[in-house]
Amino acid sequence: MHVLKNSIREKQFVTIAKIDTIEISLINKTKQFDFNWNKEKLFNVYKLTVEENDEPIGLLSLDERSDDYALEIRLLASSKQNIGKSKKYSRIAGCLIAFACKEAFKRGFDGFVCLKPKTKLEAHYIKKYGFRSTKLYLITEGENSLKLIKEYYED
Amino acid sequence: MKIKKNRKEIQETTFSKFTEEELADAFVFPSDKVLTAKEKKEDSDFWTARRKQFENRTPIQKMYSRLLQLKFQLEDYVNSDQYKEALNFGYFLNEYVSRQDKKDKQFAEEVDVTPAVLSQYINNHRKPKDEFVIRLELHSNGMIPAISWFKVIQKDKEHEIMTNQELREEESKHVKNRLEFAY
Repeated sequence: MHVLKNSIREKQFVTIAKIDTIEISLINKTKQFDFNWNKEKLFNVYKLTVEENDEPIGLLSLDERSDDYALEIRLLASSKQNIGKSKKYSRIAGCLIAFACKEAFKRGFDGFVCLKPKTKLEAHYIKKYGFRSTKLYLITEGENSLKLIKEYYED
Repeated sequence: MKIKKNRKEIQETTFSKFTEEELADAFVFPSDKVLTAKEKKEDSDFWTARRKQFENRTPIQKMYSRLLQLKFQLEDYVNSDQYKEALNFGYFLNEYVSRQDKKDKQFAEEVDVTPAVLSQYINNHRKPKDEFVIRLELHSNGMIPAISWFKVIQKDKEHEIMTNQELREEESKHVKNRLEFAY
């Protein structure tokens, strides 16, 4: 799995790892990420880091809804230096969404991942990641989730 | 995790500076909106439908799901640094067979080995040859590649070579004039 370093269009390999409440607090204190991540301590929070660099460039909070056979993306953020035209790395959100899809397969949920989008961003998630729209949620499952895993995991 | 000190004061992001596409490319925003009664009903209906859809899958869909689950569990395991004795080649092979609701005898026929040999693989009493690993890839139509199977075998071997004291004692008699450097 990789992100792209925009300045040189070079692949940088990344890893995604679960973090505990202590690390969530530490990352929150750095203010490198928008939103209050301390609110996510009750959920599964993961960090995306470029290999051989400890500092995360992406964070993801997942709610495991076992009774509903689903993973819900509660919150996802690229670090502040990775937003907009001047961002250092591309593909951060895609890697984290593909990771969520893979976790949803590993848990036996058929790759079912959902999120509640901001209305004005909905079309972009659908276009970029192939999400399907329902009244309240965007969802990906089955073949589309496999496609995302292939796209983001195959180097 | 180290925290850099003396960092310049970091500002909150002004989201309005970015296009919608740039925001979607960087975030999934938190959903802190309070739901109306109508939306709560829609939410509840959505999850009811999801549970129903999942529980009404056909046997084939369930099998496909179980095999994909195995594929990703296997891949994650072989690509991780951890070693778990229980997660050996025989365990994953047994899972591959049982998740298809097949008897060992039927599966042995499908990959052209005797039931006795398959049993030895499953119980880790025999190391599979490359040919067998390739057959497994072909049998799954590429879903679980030979390299993933090979990496499990490799992982088992690495553990064995690191921990086999008996073999060290046995081989000791064949080694003479040992180096005496401190290490």
